[in-house]
Amino acid sequence: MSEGPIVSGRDPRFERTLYAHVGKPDAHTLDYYLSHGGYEAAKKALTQMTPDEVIEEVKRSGLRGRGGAGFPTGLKWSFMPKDDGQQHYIIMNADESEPGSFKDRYILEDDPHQAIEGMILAGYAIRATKGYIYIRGEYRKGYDRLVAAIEEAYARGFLGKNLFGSGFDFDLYVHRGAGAYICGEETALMNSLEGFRGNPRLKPPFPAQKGLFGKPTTINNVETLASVVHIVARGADWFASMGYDKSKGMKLYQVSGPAKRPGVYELPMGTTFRELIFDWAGGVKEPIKAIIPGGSSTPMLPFTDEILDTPMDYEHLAEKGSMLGTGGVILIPESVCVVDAIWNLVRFYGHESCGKCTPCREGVAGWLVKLLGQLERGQGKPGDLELIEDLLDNIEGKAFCPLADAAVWPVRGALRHFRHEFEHHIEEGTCAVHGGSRWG
Amino acid sequence: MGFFDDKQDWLEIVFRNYPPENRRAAVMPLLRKVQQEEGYVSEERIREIAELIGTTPTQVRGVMSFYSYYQAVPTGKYHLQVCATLSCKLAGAEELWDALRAELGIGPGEVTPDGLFSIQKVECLGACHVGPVVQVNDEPYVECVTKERLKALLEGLRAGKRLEEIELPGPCGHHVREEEA
Amino acid sequence: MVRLRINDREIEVPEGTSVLDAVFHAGYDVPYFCSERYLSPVGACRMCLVKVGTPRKGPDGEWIKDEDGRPKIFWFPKLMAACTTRVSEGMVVDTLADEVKKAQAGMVEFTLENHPLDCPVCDKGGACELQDRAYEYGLFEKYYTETQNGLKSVLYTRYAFTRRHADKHHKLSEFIVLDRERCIHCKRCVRYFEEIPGEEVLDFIERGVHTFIGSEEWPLPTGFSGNITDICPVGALLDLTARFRARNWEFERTPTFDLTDAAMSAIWVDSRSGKIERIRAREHPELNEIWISDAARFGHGWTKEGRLSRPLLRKDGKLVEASFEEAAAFLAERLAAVKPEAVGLYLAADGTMEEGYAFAEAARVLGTPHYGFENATRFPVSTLPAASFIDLLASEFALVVGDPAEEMPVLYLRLQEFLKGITPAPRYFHGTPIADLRLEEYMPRRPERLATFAAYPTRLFAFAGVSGVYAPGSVAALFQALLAAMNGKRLPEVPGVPEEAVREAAGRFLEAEARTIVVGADVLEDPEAAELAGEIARAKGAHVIAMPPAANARGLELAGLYPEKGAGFGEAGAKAVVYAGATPPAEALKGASLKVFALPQLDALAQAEADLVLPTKTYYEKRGLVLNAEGRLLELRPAPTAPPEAMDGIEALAFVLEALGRRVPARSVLEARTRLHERLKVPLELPEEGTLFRPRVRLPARRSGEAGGTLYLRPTMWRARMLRDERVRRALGETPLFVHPETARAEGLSEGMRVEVVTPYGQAPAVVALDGRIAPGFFQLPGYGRGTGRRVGFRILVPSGGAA
Ligand SMILES: Cc1cc2nc3c(=O)[nH]c(=O)nc-3n(C[C@H](O)[C@H](O)[C@H](O)COP(=O)(O)O)c2cc1C
Ligand code: SF4
Ligand code: FES
Repeated sequence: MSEGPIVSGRDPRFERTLYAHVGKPDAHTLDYYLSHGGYEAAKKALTQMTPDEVIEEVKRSGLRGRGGAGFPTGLKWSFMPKDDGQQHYIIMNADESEPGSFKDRYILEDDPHQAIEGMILAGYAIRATKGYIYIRGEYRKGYDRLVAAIEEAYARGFLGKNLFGSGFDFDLYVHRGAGAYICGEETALMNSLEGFRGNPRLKPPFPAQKGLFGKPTTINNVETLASVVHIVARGADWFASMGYDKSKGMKLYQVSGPAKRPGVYELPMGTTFRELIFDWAGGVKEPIKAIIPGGSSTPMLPFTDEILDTPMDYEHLAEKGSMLGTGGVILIPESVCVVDAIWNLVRFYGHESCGKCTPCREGVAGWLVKLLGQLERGQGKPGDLELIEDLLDNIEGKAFCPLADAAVWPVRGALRHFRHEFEHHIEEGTCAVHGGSRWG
Repeated sequence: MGFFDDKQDWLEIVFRNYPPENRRAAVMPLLRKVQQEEGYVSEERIREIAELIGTTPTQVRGVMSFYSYYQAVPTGKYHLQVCATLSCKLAGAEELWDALRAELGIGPGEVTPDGLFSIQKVECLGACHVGPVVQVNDEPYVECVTKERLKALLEGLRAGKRLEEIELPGPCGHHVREEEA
Repeated sequence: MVRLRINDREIEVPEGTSVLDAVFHAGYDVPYFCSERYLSPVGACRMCLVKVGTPRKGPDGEWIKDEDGRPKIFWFPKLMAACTTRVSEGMVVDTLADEVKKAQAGMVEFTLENHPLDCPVCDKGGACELQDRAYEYGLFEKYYTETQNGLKSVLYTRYAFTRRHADKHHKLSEFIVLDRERCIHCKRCVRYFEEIPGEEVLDFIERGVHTFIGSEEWPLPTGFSGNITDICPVGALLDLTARFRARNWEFERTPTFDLTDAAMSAIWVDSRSGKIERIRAREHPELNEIWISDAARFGHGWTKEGRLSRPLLRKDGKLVEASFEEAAAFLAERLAAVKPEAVGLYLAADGTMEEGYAFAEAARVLGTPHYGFENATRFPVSTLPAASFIDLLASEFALVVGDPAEEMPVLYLRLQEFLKGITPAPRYFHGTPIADLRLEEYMPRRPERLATFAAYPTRLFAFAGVSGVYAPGSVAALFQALLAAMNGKRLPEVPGVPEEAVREAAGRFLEAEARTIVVGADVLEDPEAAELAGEIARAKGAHVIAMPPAANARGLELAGLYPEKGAGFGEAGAKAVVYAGATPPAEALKGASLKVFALPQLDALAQAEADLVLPTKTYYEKRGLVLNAEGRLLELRPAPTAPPEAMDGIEALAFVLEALGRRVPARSVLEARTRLHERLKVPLELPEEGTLFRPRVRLPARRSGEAGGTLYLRPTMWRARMLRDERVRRALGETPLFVHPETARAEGLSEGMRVEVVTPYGQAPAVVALDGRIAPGFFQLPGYGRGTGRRVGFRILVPSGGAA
């Protein structure tokens, strides 16, 4: 077990970092944070490294964005202009609204200084002296903790002017959302932060050229930035020792649905579903038939041995026709009708469509929602599935932003693996499975 | 009197969060303040906010109506937001919603006659492992809302308790640390 | 330039071109809904998806080659929105592929899914982009052909649910109605307001499938609102003046120019059964782009009211219909008693150059010094050089003295472009770019580019780095101060304007590389101010754009109708007067024993004073040349709406001269134009878009008609004659009488008080509106085109009947 990459949480070389302190009393305070090596990475970077060296380290680590798309973080940072004399911004995307995802929440609530330190590091690397944390409006506790932590950090000189005597200034602000999934999309987020409707913006110009308030901007997920703290503290090689190929480092996996111990588990990239669900999440409470691997937009997979033994990372999941996404695993029990479950998700995307573009507004929110709703109510007609598939074709890859695709993929996944349940709905006018009340 | 007249200090702090030439960026915190204190955002407040941030009421309404948190019609003292998305559904959110409707005798957009409660279905709140989840106003979540916990919650609220004072029966594990595994 | 291939055609287009424009430039079509000329591309409708590929360079910097040794094309994994994709060297675009066709048909189907099928009663029917595109691109056989019992049938959509229902008759103002069901969310209207006039008064409300267009403003501010009815691709935003008046194919469409103001926007006059039913903007890239003012668009109702078709003669104190023979006999008899040199010949502000020539020539023949045209300014506008709107866009700084939003609305829109630093777009085979990627939503406007002054705070003030309100009559002082500041001299005082404002304006003016000075009626009415403006322009180098209150001032001055010393339009002096196209203030008729009016319809003054009224055409119905503020020569074309006997100015004048037994200088437009050609080298043939024509003219300023009173007549884009139309009256509401609070107190007036104002143009009700930003001691009233920028004597009657 001590040879090769670390790809299991049981590997003795694996050590938890992102969630090392989550859940511990007072972990959210500055004193606690400092007594556990807090702000050492920031100090090291600001006093011993150049911004480019920080970017280089992050590049070498192989870190990819944890917000869902998996874009290499160091590369993204290197797109920021240098010496252009403009204000740059770093934004932490704490909108966390993808169903099945709740990993960023506990960093914000229990370890906010980790998030702040990640912001300082990123700000330093991309030469941004101002940062915003866009936190979803509903995260009240996270917001309160963040605000308190920022206050503490200012008071003790970890934010503000001339950090660590390095000459680098950094100001941090928090902006609260108000209930719109689309505001997690980076350009919509910037519109929302600027006080406009949260519609996504055209790219180009890309945020690195013209982002928040028209200035060069980088947006990263909470987990991504928290990971940077540990990359700087422990080195790129340490980070890259976890995971396979192009999926490196530790990852916050989430389990929801009828697991015995649903929750967030920090594990190395490449951990298998089996290990996550059975070793860490305590196994299942009832028979499971499907698994949504990485948040609601990733196509569901059947709960088979083959899938259970698949490492959860970008490449392996792509091979199986799905995606790592946010690492939010949702278990679908045997007793729940897949049509019901998919209808629930499509309805979600319909509700969250921003309305800007035709295929998403009319295709997803208007038509797909109605068709699946009809199907779900047992009023489907022969030919509906073909029609749905044709609509999916007309939506996928044609919308302005990826939200519409995010609505398409779960339906595709369900039709690929559980078509019979849809057919049953059409033929019999009712679900193939009938579970009782799920409310305890 | 205007809503913000006696909140000049607060306003100043909010505006300090954004570049001075981007006053309209403050539209969301301003709307939130109104929603928190008045339970909804009236036309009058829309106009007031537009004035404060230097834009038109049309733009403020455009922003306000985009988000599900801001309400255009008055809500109860306790606005109960029930997560209805998949993981919470798997934990019984639909039954919870039906029970809540029956118990309070209201639908979305309505307020109980005593002015205490209004209800809204909302989308995933980011607490999928502890569903079903209910959020009261702008407070921290009420998680694992079983029948017993719902009953205790409503009783507590009716009794005028603050949310954090209400004892909710039963466990609700967060499972976010390896020691617990 | 960038070279690329569209289907089978190789083309070259400027860098930055959108794929959409490249496709059109290549002669192919691609459907689109959200893109619109002069607006920012947003890529929202997804109708223009095409297949796009590009070659790539290898690590060696050379193109990666395919088997045939040509640069290998790497296709984008998804279809691309042509409107928001930029061309690149070697790009290949396929607009005909099956997947493109399927995507287009799918998008049409989505767009139609919630669109009502009320085309039979929709004003846009027949001119609807959605109709056309649905027809051309909608039917994709694969899924519109359903087999039932072995029979194939064509469906237009597979959507089998109830359509979305929404507000169908939502009035946004007196002029515009919104049908929310028809909206296809292209966002053109929302973008228009923010990007063109700079008013954020329309927006999407709600989100997702519930998104609808809404406004918190009632009514939508007038000024530039009507343009949204032109650019709405469907029948969601409609012109209420034209509602249900005709199907689009029934209209007679006349391309001509608007003479509401001196910009002379290009318009379509849509008429049916001899009536003007609708005015729409016509594209003129250099002049008005695709925009016109609300007055130009919605103000046409008057053309239908009480049109005269026969002469009216005063008999026993009453005007009664008469034959042309009777009228001629009457004229001959009455004119015999008047000396030819005591005849006054006057033309309306919208008279053509041919008419101007005929009037000026007739005055010369009669030997009378009394002639002129309506709203001729005391400083002849021709004496200032002309510059075009394009020159403005090439400038870095603009000094605006006056109120472009009201005096020359289209210039106001060009100033907005100027503030954003937008320069004219390249031209393609299809004309203006449809998706000009240089334009963006919420482009910042740069206030440091603009300084503006006026006698009241204008709309432009909100966008200017420097602004100031001077007291009416102090505009010469303003220019003295500006010049002094530029020359580092001591500044004379300008009532109302702080010295720093003058200094800052002067400083920024000098710093800029290229500048434009815009002057309005205030300046043109004050020869000293106008001279100074000209001097600054000459000495420091600046373009000048003057906004004369008479639309065709440049043309009429050039034609010779600018009076030297006699009684001009609106001045008493002549014994017999002929007014064609407009009536003067009542006091101008003092001492006249014979009053002949040639008018399309009667007004109060003609009713009371005329001895003879001849029926005439409106400018929509005339043929003739006009010269706009830029010195752009344009040709009017007649809409077929004039009553059969209605005359133009030349015919009316000939009628009068014949009665006098005098030689007629020109009997027809063609004859007058030939004379103009001989004398002034005015071209005989004009291209459709007109041509710049700027001969040097020097005319002496007039000293007569000294400004005196304390009532300042504000410019407005609306004209007095438009008030005949009830809809216009309702939209404009009660006439405000602006007063400084101090002055009001002194005069015993209070906010909202209803008064009657007696001016030289007649008596009218007004409502007192206090405004602390204007100069004390003056009153300001919208002039509706009459006496714009002048100060006149007046009386206020308070409700009790006494004078205040
Ligand atoms: C519809 C939509 C919703 C998104 N929501 C989130 C979100 O809630 N949180 C997040 O971090 N990223 C979200 N993203 C991804 C972001 O756009 C962006 O890629 C990410 O924040 C970049 O950070 P990373 O590179 O660190 O992953 C969303 C993207 C889309 C298209
Ligand atoms: S896909 Fe289109 S409508 Fe949907 S959220 Fe993105 S831009 Fe908005
Ligand atoms: S599905 Fe309800 S909180 Fe995630």
